[in-house]
Amino acid sequence: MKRPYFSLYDIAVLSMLGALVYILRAALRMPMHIPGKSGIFWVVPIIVGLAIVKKPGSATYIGLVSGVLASFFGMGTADVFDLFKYVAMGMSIDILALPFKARLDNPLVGLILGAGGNLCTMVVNYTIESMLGIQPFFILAGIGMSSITHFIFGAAGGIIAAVIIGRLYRAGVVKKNERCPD
Amino acid sequence: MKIDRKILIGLAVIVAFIALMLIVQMFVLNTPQNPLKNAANNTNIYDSTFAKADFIYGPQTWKPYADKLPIAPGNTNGYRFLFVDLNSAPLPGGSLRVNYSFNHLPGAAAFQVYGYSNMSNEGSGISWTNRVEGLGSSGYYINGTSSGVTMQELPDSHHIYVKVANHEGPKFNVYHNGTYYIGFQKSGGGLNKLHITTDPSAIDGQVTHTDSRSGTFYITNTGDATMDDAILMVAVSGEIPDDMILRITAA
Repeated sequence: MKRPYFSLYDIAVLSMLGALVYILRAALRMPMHIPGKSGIFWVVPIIVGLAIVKKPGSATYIGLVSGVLASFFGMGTADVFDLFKYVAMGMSIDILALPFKARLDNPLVGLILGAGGNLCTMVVNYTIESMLGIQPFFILAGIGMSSITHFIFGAAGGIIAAVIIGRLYRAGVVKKNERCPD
Repeated sequence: MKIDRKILIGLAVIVAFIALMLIVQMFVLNTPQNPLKNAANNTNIYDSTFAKADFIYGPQTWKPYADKLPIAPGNTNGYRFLFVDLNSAPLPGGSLRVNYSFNHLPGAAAFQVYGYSNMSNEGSGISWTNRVEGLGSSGYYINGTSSGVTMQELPDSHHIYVKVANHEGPKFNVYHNGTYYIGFQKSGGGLNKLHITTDPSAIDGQVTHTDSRSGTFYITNTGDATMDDAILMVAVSGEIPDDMILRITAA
């Protein structure tokens, strides 16, 4: 019998981390109108989940779970379209993590994953807004500064995730995959 | 490929992407057709006058929100007020120009703004307003003195339905009773996206006090949420004379 790609343990861990993403977004509200600020804690469970499960697609699964929760509980203003933002973040982190495999505890790797994921969310978010009728001018007029803030908060979240993963490796809670080459 | 080279390539791609976005932003902001620069020249999309009979709410000292926010911080006078549906809303990063003109204003006046969405987290309703106190506050206040009035407050500050003074009724009459629903998710929420400013390039707004009975200010939206409509709250202190006229235009 063909084994499923994700084991029951994998599904449980990824689902809990997906729910954690939703809870963090709902519970931690920063009263600053800075685009991308939520990326600082949004990317952490996704990258940590990828490091724990160590299978491509893990981050996408976490994004899907958190996106479904956010869409149905009305987190953002785009309702069902928020699902695409969360899935995009997960997919982008999955793709960016492919070259780095077992080095997710490297802060620079975390920086790239977090920043890349948050920037990808920005692109998807603005694409959805332009499809919903916002004039492209108003999106492009602030996209430079928005990119910088998305990078800063995503990078910070990625570094935090890398530090957490390093601690988990050192404590033996999660086994680093020694077979994966640099 | 060694890890260091992969990291360098990854960082280079991200930096190149951000640089490209900055170039796009600079290019767009310097185009001649920049609607932010042309806000002062747009033709009016709303033009109406209001009289004493249109000020159906109050007198009270607070404006509707999850909590009772002061209409004019530091001022304990009771204000009568009305809501004006501007039939438009500033887009994210954009502004909406409002011109006002009072004849026979009895005392002080205050302008506040609310944002309405058909798809807010509370359903169809008003979910944004300008912050009036603390960091990031904005508002437009006309100075004046007035005698005391007997208070007659709204039944609640929150989860209420308010009528607009527009003669044609609200633009979005989703509840079929000519009102807008005021529903904020929680205290502290919905205060950071809408602002009132006298300079459309200062989109975070500021608190303005003026003696002028006519003038111009802008409503700006610094969030990433698209609002379907902006509702202006105009509050007047003191006993309103029968010949008071307020004209509001928006563009």
